[in-house]
Amino acid sequence: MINVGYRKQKKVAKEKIQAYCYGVWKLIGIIVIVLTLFNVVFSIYWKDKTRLYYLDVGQGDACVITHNQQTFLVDGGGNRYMDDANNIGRRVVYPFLLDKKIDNIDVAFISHMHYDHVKGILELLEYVNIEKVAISHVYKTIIEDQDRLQESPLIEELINGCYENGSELLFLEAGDIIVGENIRVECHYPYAKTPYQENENNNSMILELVTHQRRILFTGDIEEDVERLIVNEGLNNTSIDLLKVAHHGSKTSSSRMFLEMLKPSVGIISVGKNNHGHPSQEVLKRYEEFKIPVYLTKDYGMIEVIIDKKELKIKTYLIKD
Amino acid sequence: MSFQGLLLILCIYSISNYTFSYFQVLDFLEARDSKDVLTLDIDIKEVRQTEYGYQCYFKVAKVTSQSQLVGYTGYVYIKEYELNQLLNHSKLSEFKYLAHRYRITGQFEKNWYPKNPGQIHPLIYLLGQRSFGKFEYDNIELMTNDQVEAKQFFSVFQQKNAQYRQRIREKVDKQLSVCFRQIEYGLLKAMILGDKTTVDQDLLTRYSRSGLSHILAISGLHIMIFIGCLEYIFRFFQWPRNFRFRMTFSISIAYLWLLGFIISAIRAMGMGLILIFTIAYDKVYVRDRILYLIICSFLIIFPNALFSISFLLSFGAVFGLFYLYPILRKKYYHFRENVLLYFMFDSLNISLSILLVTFPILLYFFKGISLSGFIVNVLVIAVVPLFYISSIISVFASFIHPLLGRFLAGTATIISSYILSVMLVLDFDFGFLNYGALSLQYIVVYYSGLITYVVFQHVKREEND
Repeated sequence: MINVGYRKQKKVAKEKIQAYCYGVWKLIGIIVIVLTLFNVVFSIYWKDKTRLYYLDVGQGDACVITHNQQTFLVDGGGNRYMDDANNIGRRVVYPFLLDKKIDNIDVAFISHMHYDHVKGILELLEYVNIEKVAISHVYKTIIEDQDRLQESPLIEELINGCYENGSELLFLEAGDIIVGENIRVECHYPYAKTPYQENENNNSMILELVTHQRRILFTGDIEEDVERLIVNEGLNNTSIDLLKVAHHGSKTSSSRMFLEMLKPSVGIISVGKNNHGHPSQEVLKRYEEFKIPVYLTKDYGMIEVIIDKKELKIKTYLIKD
Repeated sequence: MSFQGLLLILCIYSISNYTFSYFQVLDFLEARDSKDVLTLDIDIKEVRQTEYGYQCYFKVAKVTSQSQLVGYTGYVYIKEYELNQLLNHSKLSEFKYLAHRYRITGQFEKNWYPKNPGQIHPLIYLLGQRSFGKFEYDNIELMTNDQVEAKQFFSVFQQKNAQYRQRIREKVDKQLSVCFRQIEYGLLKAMILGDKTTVDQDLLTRYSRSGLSHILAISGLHIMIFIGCLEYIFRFFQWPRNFRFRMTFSISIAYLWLLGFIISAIRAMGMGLILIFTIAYDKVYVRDRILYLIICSFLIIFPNALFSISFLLSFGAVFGLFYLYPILRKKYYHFRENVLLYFMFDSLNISLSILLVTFPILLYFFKGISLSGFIVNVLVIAVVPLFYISSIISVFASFIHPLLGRFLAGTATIISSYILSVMLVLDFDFGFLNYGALSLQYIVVYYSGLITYVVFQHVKREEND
């Protein structure tokens, strides 16, 4: 009798466990279906919108561009005086990418080799898969010359980082175009004949992003000399929709002739606490004169620009006091 | 005491701890963001030269009004000439500034908030680091010796405690350096004292590539070997079980103190001690309950551990050993009479059981999996206990005479060479398979499948029994 009772109990227990397992599988099925549906709805909603995120990286530049499944990065911010392992790339850009569930960057553009533009990308190479890194062709001469390369630790670190993480290094010159799906990035400067400049700011690449027939210009840290060159050579006839103000709003850039030629609808200044007096009040006044609204990352936090077929919308992470 | 009783105590402890921490945080925020001008007595710990002046990292020793800030660290920019003036030195490179205590008056830097999505709130980050960030000082002065003497008892105790710990660590460190070559010395310092700084960087990378990094950390494996050795020694003296447990417990706590109460060691030690406790006090040895108790208590005390890779991997490994290992063992149990073959299958089974549970975690976090690591682990894990025990014996012997220590260190050196050669031979370029990030959906499905399989096997085994 005892044995029979025990077996019965066992049978009941077994049935219970089987029912439990069946329930678990049912639940998993529902979760998978719901998540898939959510993914589909989410991807439809997100499709065909280009989003530009001008991150607040303090004194420096970093802009993440997403369009459908493609991601581009223009500069990565950075601080010369922070720990190598705990710099802007690790503490600001990487958490942002995690937040947006981005683990692959198609092309990372480095405007020029200053800490506040390149350091973040050097850090990101360790954490995110960056397929291609695009730099100005003027650095080719440095890379080919071992002695000069040793004097340029950032370039050396970049080459090593690209090699270790399997990222392809591209050298861009004026006229080069990187084409994605319904999006393209065109390089306007430096020209093929432009040599390496002693003033590093003037080695900056000028990049134009074209999406949904809108034009966004990234100017790195170019100064007036380069602006004059661009004005003389001419860019394109149409005015641009959005300008990343050169050199954090420094008075050495954003000359009148440059603004007259570009006629930007909106300007964005990526700037933080600094000792260089950026942004210059003179430059801010100039933008005011030209009736160009300017957004500063130090006031607004991250600035998000959403572009679709209909409009160009600007959203800020913080509201200005 | 029952399992539920222990959990209840832990819950009460945790709730009271959180409530206390919550008020502490509120006090901290109030103190930090108050508009009062604060006077802090600080000890400078580290100085870095920047364009804004000397960035001095300091620890607060005393505060005039806000005692919540004592013990917290922070940093302050001090102008070079001011520091020179205070110390009356022409050269700062002599690091004289570290030997003094300073009194600074000023306020904390305000406006801490994240300015980008996904960015950790700087204040939460700083609180986690027990730091309050930047202090803007109006006045700085050097304190005289008389002022510094008036220290609180607690800080004196803390200092003494740290001094004693450091002294013993240095002693062990010295004995290790006497007995072993540089390679084994670095390895053993990491295994015994939890200090990886002396491990050669290339070697560290090699261990990491081979999936053997866990050997260099104070993990459950080392702690269980340690506790097992103690138990074995005490049994040799035929001491009663209760007494053996008390001795093991006391020595384990002393070892934890020597390690500086690091979390991974506490976790492993807790597991080992509860195991010994159940044996010593004739409690029914309920393995599963011990495991769940440790997991629950750990998650109650450190909820963030759920997202910590070390926590997930270590408990994943234990799950594998508890539930998958016995199931897989049945497949080769009939070979038990052939000792060598059985040992080989058993080593393979241990690694496979652990891998089957942990590989989704590895894929999720590392976006790939080390195939050569699996084989290396099979070949190496079996010799680790021997390496650990022989090394400890050598260290103890070296206290008697350095030559004796060196002589006995021969066994450990041979095993270390074996580990290195295994790593070198199996260091293939294609050893690491890159799969990209694994979706959370697949992980849920995989673990549900695995748990269902284990439950079915468990039911089947009970039926057969």
